[in-house]
Amino acid sequence: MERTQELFEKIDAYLNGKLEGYHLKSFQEALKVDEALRSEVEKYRLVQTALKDKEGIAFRKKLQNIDSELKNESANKKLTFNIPRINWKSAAVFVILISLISLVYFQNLSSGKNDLFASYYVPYPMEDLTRGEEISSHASFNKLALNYKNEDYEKVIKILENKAETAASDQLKLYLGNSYLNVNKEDKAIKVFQSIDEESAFYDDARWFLALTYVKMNKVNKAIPVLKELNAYNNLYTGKASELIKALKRNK
Amino acid sequence: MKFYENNNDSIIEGIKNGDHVIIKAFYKTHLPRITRYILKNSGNLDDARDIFQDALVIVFKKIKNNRLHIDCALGTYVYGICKYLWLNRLKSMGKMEAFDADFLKLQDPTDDALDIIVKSERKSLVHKYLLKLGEGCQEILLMFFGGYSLKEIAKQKDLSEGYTRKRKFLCQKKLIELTEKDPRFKEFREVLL
Repeated sequence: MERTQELFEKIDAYLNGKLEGYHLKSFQEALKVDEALRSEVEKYRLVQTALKDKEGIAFRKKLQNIDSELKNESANKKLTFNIPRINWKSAAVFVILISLISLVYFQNLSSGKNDLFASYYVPYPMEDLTRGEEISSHASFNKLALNYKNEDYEKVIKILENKAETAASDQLKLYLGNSYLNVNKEDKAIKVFQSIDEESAFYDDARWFLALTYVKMNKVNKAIPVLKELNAYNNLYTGKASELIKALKRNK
Repeated sequence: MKFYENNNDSIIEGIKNGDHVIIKAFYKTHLPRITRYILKNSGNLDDARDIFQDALVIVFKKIKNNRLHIDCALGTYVYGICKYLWLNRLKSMGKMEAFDADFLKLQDPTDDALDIIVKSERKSLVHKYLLKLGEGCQEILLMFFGGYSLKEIAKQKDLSEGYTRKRKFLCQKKLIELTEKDPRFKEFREVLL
């Protein structure tokens, strides 16, 4: 059916109860026999209903603006650590450390140093942790946080080892995995990082540390697919994953 | 609870009030997780963004109407809606058969979540394409369907009534054309008719 201004105005009048007498009756008769007209009326009605929802439209517009902002931030490679689940200060320090260490690495590359793991690895930052069943008391949490910050990883492992195998939160698993990594128990670190489900909000972190564990073990062929996976969509590690892939390929 | 992500109340309040910082933080935290799911299930990055935004609009409407009753973290609930929307889209594209949507009812047991989602999706489709039109078109259509007469719009925009009438028609025609080209529209149409 050809869409004309006249047709739209007639449908509008019909839907808003402004058609009367003969015009209303003939439109109603036409609707009974003309499927194309019925379809046009329904489309018009859908648009009418949807466009009355100003709040919904404004909210979607806001989301689109946020999406554009994030794309621009990502394109400018300014990793802004607004991520709410990470303590702002810890996250900022974490990123700065990664950036500085990467810089040092690239400077050192020309002078022959080639320890990619050391160049990229920064322990997962200790932050305000959700104290659930796993770390039930304030004292236990403080003890864990203090040991981790003091790099006393054996003690962290002792606190977390049994919990992580059962029902520890994914965040605790990241601390355990990082602790294993720091006491050269890479096989155990791999198991812990792999146990974090892909539906978890900590999955990206787990994949990043899994890749670094493979790098540390010199298992480049295992590290690259994990890094490629991280590089396939926008997340905290996208830029670093891409850099590391290139560095690994250069060093192959 | 200090942990921001799990603080449903402050996030819900932020979404309700249109708090840019809170919404952006939530968006940035949860989009990667949705993206992973959609990439692994035959979708692409644009699909992920689209689905995530649809889900957030649904949650926004439920919050505004005081109909959000969840027993889980908001991020988990949004993830569930995204899964439902994506599986539904795959179904409408003939890429999968029927699926069980009970996981959504488990998260939101007290209301008609699925019904609201289906209705919201129809509107979301129109909204999505409205925002692809130029600002002028958006403005005229929003004013017209917001209750202004063409005469009032013409006066406010300092245009002739005839031109405003023509412009509204062309904008709406374009909007319908864009909307009906979307593969999802066919499915909605079957429901509408």
